[in-house]
Amino acid sequence: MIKIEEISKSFKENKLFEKLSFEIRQGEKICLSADSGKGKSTLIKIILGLESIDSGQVLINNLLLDKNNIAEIRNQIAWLPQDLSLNIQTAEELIEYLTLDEKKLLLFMQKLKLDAQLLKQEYQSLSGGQKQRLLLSACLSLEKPILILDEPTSALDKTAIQDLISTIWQIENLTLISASHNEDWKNACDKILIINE
Amino acid sequence: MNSVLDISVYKLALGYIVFLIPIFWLYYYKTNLIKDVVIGALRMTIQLAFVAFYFSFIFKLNNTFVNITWVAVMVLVSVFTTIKRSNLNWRVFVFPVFTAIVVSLILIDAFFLGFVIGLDNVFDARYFIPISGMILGNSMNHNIIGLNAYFDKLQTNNQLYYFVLVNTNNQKNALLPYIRDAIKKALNPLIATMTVMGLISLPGMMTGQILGGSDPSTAVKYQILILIAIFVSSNMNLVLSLIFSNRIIFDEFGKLKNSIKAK
Repeated sequence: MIKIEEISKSFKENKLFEKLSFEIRQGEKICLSADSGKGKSTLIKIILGLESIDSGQVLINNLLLDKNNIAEIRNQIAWLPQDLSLNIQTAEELIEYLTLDEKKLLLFMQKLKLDAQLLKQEYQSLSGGQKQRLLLSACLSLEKPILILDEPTSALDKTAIQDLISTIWQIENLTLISASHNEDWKNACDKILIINE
Repeated sequence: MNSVLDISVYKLALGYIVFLIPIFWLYYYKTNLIKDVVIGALRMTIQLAFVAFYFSFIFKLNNTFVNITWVAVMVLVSVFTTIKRSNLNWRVFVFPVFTAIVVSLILIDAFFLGFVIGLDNVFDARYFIPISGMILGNSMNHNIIGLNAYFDKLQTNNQLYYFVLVNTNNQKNALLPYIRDAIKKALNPLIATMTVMGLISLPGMMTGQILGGSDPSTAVKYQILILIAIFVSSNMNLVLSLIFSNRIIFDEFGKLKNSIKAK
């Protein structure tokens, strides 16, 4: 269970949200919706402990998000960032840095229609869609109970989005927080949370 | 060996005439570097003249306390130059960089002067000061390259750091690619120098020793030791600077603090 309790966040004069509250139950899949630059990524960064809040509190599986619990909270989260420009030579490096199980990674890559040879290719030469599916495979292979995806469909075509939806929705008890403008994605989610309204 | 041929001040001054050649090209291509070259040459001359004066005095005195004080001053200059040229906030970095430099210098000096060369007194001015200076100067240059690479990338290209940090909850793993990159950038020039040593480059120290009347084989042995010492200390200096800095530049959530760059 993820509980967001009356959190407020502003950057200088710009109030992103004020006393925002919502709950996400275990296994629930939600999509955050807001115009660009209206706080979706900021809200995600708050849940990841990468952005501070002005007031309120965040609870993840009954753990208060603070410096004492951040390690335990991050152990439960896999996150796909919006910006996929990682300074690595090949995707194989990710296996080392993320301590991935290669078999699991290859399994998810296969589900998302990625060739295993892609791991040896220069990362910078991959297309946006390939990078996105590759990093999604990496996140899924971590097998964490909470998956947070920031614009997971931005570089994917309709078929790839369907592959991703069917792969993620097959995983039991996976809690999903996502930010996407894609209609198919939004329709697949249990809830659409419109922030900043 | 032949006795050393001294260079008269008049002939030394004549040496400066060859500076006219690069100055001509700098002027011809309008590089705006002439002023910098003149200032650089003047500073070099004045600083080395002072060194000649001080060294004559200090070598004659050869007092352990004075020698240590001299090296301590060199360490402080090295610390502040490293921080300034890496464009870092000296309040944040003075402790990690100072500790890294002091620890690596003590270990390298103790090993090479005390154990390898086997001096009775490792603080003997004739060895302690020039060898410490050479190690400090060289490792400082490589440390600056490494620190610049590390902090620039960590500030401007930190997606990988946060991606690995959040997904693994392991800061060591998240910093690994950045540390690797910094070490490679810092030590690659030194590895290249060692690789061609004696083939297309003759190092200044060895040449100086030979011109100063030493036996070439003795000069070569010292040169090898010095190169190893520079390589080891550069590596140790950079790695320790990074390890000590990493303890204070992130907040409790692993976020890079804003205060690391010089204002």
